[in-house]
Amino acid sequence: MDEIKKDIPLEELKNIKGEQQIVDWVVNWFRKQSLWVLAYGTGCGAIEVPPTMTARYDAERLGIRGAATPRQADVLIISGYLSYKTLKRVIRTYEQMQSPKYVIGLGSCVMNGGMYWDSYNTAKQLDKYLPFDIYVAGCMPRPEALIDGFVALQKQISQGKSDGADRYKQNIDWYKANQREIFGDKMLPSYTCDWYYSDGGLV
Amino acid sequence: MSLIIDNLRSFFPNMDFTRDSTGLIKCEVTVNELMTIVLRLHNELSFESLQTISCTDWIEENTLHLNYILYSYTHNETVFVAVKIPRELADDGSKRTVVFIPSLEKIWPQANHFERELWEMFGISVTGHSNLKEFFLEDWQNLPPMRRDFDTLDFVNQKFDFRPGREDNKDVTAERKRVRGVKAALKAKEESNGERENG
Ligand code: SF4
Repeated sequence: MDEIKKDIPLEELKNIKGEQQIVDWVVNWFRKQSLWVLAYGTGCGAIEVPPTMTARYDAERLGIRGAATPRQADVLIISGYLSYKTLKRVIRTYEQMQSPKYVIGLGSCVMNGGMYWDSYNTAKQLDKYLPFDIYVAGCMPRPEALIDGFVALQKQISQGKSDGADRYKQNIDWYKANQREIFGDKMLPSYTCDWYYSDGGLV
Repeated sequence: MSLIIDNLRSFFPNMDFTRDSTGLIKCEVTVNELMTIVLRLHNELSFESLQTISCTDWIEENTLHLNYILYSYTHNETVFVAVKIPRELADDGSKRTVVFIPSLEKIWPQANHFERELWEMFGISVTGHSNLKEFFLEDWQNLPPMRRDFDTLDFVNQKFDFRPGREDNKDVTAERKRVRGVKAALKAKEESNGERENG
């Protein structure tokens, strides 16, 4: 119990007003403590994820664990360059994940193509296709950097600022238009994103 | 000259085998001879393994230089069987070469993948291949991307947007020094403040 008390920053608590805010704060606090990461590697950065998860850096002590399927996962790590063959799969995976969901971009390739800036098959500006919450810079980032990214993400979540999924939902037309631009008529099937247009599947 | 080269010479009297400084044996054949020679190397001289098929696009000489790299566990020797084919593309819009190479899939199953990649990346036509379809790429409409007349940069500029960012490529050392100086000054000031309070 004492440990939990230590974890709760008093300043944050003082700013909370009203019932909804209390509920939000508690929910975010719970979410932050358990992040399930989809075990899916796209580029060379995937090499750094196993050491992060296993004994040496032991991300589990921060509540970060691997999940087997997108439907169980909260965090998608885009670990490096994305060819647009992979991008198609990643978008589909992302759309299958259930809220709350966050995306971490690992490495410089995710931001601007990195050293593959003139490659014929690597997407350059990924935030046109997917909403990112955190970027971790480096080529390739060490596990320490990745853990730092996770800690930053946890901080964002506890402050309620990680809104990637909301952004994707609100700007779904813009994202879909961008995706259509590079996939052409080989677009993803629409049933994976149909529910974005209604009220989150509730109506 | 070593035993294996003598052996090769007696098997293929018209061919020229050389050994380079790193100990690799090299020879060059035409596309028509390829199948017979490779088959004999495999069956009679026990070159059991096809390690890879490499390809180089010599645009200046208008050739595609293929190297079939065979390895023998029995002799511990490597043979490079080179084939040079013209790099002209057929004009039926398929973007594959006029000259066909025979598939070695029947001898070494792994040749399937190597040839599929050559077909996709260099646009080399292959006969007798069981599974000739896209491998790494998806919906590729352009020239095969590993050919040197395919202009990557042009393609990238057409296809992708770049993130706008620093274009000046300035040296950042001066700026870093300035920031460090400011920080040090701040720290010194804090420290002196602290001393005054204490004192
Ligand atoms: S940023 Fe570097 S390490 Fe990461 S995917 Fe790109 S090239 Fe590989």
